[in-house]
Amino acid sequence: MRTLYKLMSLLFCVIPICTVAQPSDTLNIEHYVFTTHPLDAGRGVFSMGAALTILPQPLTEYPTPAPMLDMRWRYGLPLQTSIYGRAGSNIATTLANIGLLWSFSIGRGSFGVGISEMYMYGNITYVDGFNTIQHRWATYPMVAASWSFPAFTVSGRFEMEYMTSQVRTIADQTVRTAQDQLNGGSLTLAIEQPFWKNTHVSMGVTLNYTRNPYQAWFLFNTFRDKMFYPELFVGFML
Amino acid sequence: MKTFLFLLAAVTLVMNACVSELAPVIYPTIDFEAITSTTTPLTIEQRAQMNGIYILQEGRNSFGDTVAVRWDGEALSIYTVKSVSFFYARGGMRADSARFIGYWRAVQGPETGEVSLNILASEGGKDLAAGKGNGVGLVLRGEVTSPGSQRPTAMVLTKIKALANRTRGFEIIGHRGGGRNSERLGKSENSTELMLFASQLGATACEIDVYGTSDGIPVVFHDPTFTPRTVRGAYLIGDISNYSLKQIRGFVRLVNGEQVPTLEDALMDVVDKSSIRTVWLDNKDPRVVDEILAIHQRVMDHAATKRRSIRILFGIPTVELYDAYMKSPLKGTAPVLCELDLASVRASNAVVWAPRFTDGLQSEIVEQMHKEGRDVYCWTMDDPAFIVRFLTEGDFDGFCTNYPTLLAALFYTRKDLK
Repeated sequence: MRTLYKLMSLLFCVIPICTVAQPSDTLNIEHYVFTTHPLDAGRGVFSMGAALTILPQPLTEYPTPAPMLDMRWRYGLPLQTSIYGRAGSNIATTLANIGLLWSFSIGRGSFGVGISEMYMYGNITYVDGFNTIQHRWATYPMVAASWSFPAFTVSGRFEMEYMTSQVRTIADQTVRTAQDQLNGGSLTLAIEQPFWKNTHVSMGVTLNYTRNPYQAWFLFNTFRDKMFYPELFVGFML
Repeated sequence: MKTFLFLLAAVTLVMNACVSELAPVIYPTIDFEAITSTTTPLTIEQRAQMNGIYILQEGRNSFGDTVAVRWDGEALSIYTVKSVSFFYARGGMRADSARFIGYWRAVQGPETGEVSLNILASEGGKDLAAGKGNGVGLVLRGEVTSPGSQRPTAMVLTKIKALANRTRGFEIIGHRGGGRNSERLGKSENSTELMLFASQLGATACEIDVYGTSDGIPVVFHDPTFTPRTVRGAYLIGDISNYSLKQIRGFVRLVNGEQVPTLEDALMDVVDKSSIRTVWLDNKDPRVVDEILAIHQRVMDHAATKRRSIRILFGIPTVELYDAYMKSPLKGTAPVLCELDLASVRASNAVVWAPRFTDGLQSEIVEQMHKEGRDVYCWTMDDPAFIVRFLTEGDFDGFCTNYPTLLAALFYTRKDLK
């Protein structure tokens, strides 16, 4: 399974390399979702793709991939601010995230700070034995930076994850299983570039270091150790 | 640019290979001989006098307000809810005082450290030495070391009452012999060594997994195949059932270096060397049902010669096991624990019904099972919020858990048990 994951991750990176457009004098940043370059007010960018991670083995005991349909978006507001968000689902786990980013540019570079709130709904009542539903709320303060090259833009985000509420239901019992807990953090590295005609592509990896991965919510994790796991993503901006 | 992208690809692949492993736990080395050779062992009565719920005057930041103190054989154990820690200490009386040394471990993380505790003559030692009173007011005073801390911190705890209990009794069942390999207990899951240590973790019972070898010998092992999660190296590939016991003994060691135990050896050791009172056989292989039942009989005969009270439950977790058991000529020779529906529980005349905890409290069915003379064990309970809810609102006779320490701490210190 891990070999499959490595092959997929290689494809994630090789396919876009093969489809790089010719270098351009324009930055193309108005097409990108991860960049911190301020967006013009009223302009929106939408990306649709997929994310894939292998859950930390101490939790799952066996290599367990967790793919997810992944949508991200950004919408420019006045005063160099923008709202940004993410929505994703793999049926068992569905999440929605919305946040506010303030950023500024210096030449080809840009920097920003933001904060977002995520709601996650987990439901695997249809899987024999699990019979579990979860609601989770988490806050993500973020610092981010981008640098634009002639043909592509590189962005980095560092986010902390503060879990404000986690409520689980099994059968007729509902309990709050976590509250106001610094769960960990993540570093996201993304590349965005033209792909085909007017479409653009984003791809990258999020390096997670958390105690309670949202993708593994149904495992009733009790470790206090923070665990490292990467999450690959690719998205197309149409 | 392509160089950069290739670099990203390389970083990504490296990151994939770095998916988390839990940090190893390095237990402190304690010279128990130094303390046991200079102290007098406590009598059974003195140990009972020490058992109880204690409140902490010092050490609350690390271990919370209330802990359970309980002797198990020669070892003094302490179980905490906060940080989910167990203490393992040895020692005894010195005239009118007592001294104990050992170590502690937070089982949901990597933290561990040394502990030393004393009972002064003026703080209950004199009564303990004389065997007077019920131990309430007795003070354990000492210090603990913590990882990353240069100086030991004070720990002072005072007994306030006896340990909570339950009229019908209650089993704290250590999963896979006492915990998974990911708990880093220094002893491998499903090893004899862990089963013998389980009671120090707080368990009164243990659940173990049973597969059959190619030559039909039941062995204690969780997975159907050998993997790096359970064994050192990868010398044998494929199903356990493809290999003879001799091949397994020759090529396989559990992650902490132990042999894969045969079921019979493991149970004999549990009978001879532990205080475990119930063993739940989580049978995985319908081919060896008759062999397991025959082993049960031999082990119970051995226990009878030792006047050892123990209950070994033949587990039926699947329909395949159920069918094999019902066809066995040895059916009815061992008490059965059935995880299936109530019809199967009744048809197999199971003495224990064991539903998943995710099915909820099921209070009416539990009550019905009790009326029929059956116990009900729930599995696998690890989350403190659910454990508290099920302890206080349910009426179960035992929980299987990866954290017997946590369950022991919650069970023995609760006020509102049924």
